Amino acid sequence: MALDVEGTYLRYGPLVLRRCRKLLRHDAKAQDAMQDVFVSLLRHEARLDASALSALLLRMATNVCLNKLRGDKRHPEDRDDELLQRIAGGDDDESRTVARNLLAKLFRADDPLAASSRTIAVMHLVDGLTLEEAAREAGMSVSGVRKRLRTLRGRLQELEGV
Amino acid sequence: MTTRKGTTPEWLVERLALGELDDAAAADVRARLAAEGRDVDAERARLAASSREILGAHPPARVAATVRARAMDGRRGARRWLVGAPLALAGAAALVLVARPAPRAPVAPTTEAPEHIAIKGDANARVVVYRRAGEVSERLRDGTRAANGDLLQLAYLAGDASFGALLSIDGRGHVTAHWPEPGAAIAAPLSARGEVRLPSAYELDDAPAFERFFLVTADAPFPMTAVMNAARALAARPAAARADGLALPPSLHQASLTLEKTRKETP
Repeated sequence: MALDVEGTYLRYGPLVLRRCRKLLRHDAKAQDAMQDVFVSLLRHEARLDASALSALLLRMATNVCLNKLRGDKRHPEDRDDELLQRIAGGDDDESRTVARNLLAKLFRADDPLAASSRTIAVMHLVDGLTLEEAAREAGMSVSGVRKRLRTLRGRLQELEGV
Repeated sequence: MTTRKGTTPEWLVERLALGELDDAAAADVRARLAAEGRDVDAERARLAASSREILGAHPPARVAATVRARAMDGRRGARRWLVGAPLALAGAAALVLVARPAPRAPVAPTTEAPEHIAIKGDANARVVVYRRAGEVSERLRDGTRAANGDLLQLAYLAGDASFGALLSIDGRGHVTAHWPEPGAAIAAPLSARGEVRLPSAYELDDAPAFERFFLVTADAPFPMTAVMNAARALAARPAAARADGLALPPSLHQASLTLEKTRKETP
């Protein structure tokens, strides 16, 4: 579909900016992240489904913010920040691949990595969505969400064990 | 169902307010809010007020223009930190641009009066020029003397503008595009967050008489062709090039800063 950027921003821009503010806790960075989300959306307009974009935009905003947090390397200020830093902070090949191919994966339904493990983790551990809610919002099965969380927890444990 | 912890996730409240949850999920969220003593209409009103504030501070037309320009910029595959390479290779005899951003040096504080000339339009948009000498950067005012070999750091203040271009003309009649990168079709999105330095430094060559920097700004993306043509036309008229403005459409604003050239003594 051809994306009406202004109309889409009018409806969803505040949602995305609030999401970015919540995760980044820095207004200027949140504005940058919000623009990143809409730039990515525009670049993938041909593959968009026009209906109910809010879940997709929330996931995209979450991923953009996690990537920015990874780049920040700032000190955690509280528990949520620390959790986000840990989720965002993996520094391995998969993390780089996820960052690089994030949007491509989001739009590839046949790809087993159709949603980021880190985004799922934030939805469940930071936002407080149940596994079922996280699965629905990510368009995944509950077992898929469980598996991703297990994988992520394993990685975090490995990192902490070093 | 896994155990629920804490209050209803804002993620779901946002989706409820937009009417994008399916019926079962919407009913579930409404029930959770009610159990927490929260009113659905009040939640909607809270988000609507926040949205009004955000859309007022970041108007749709402006954000959409910036997003389109950034998307277009990305499609060109631009690598802005290499901005200087093509020109340097093109050999404009007069010009050497440093391909990588030069290390940032402390900036000497200044309380001097205006450093630039606002020719037309937004008085808050301005071009800023620093001369780097060792570990110190000196902010240059309009009319400052400068010599070939001086290393300049260019910067801008966007004021209320969303898009801009920074270029210079010199006493030989040459025009140099500093930002966006040479060959760009449209002006670059500007950051509204204070002074923004360009990613590369610029070394003055031995062109005589002057180097005049222009910041051209607008509220919407504009084609670089018109700006570059106006700059070439002005540069071709040495008698006017120091003082006249660029002949630009009314929607474009411009500010300039001129350095008077002196020849550096050779040891």
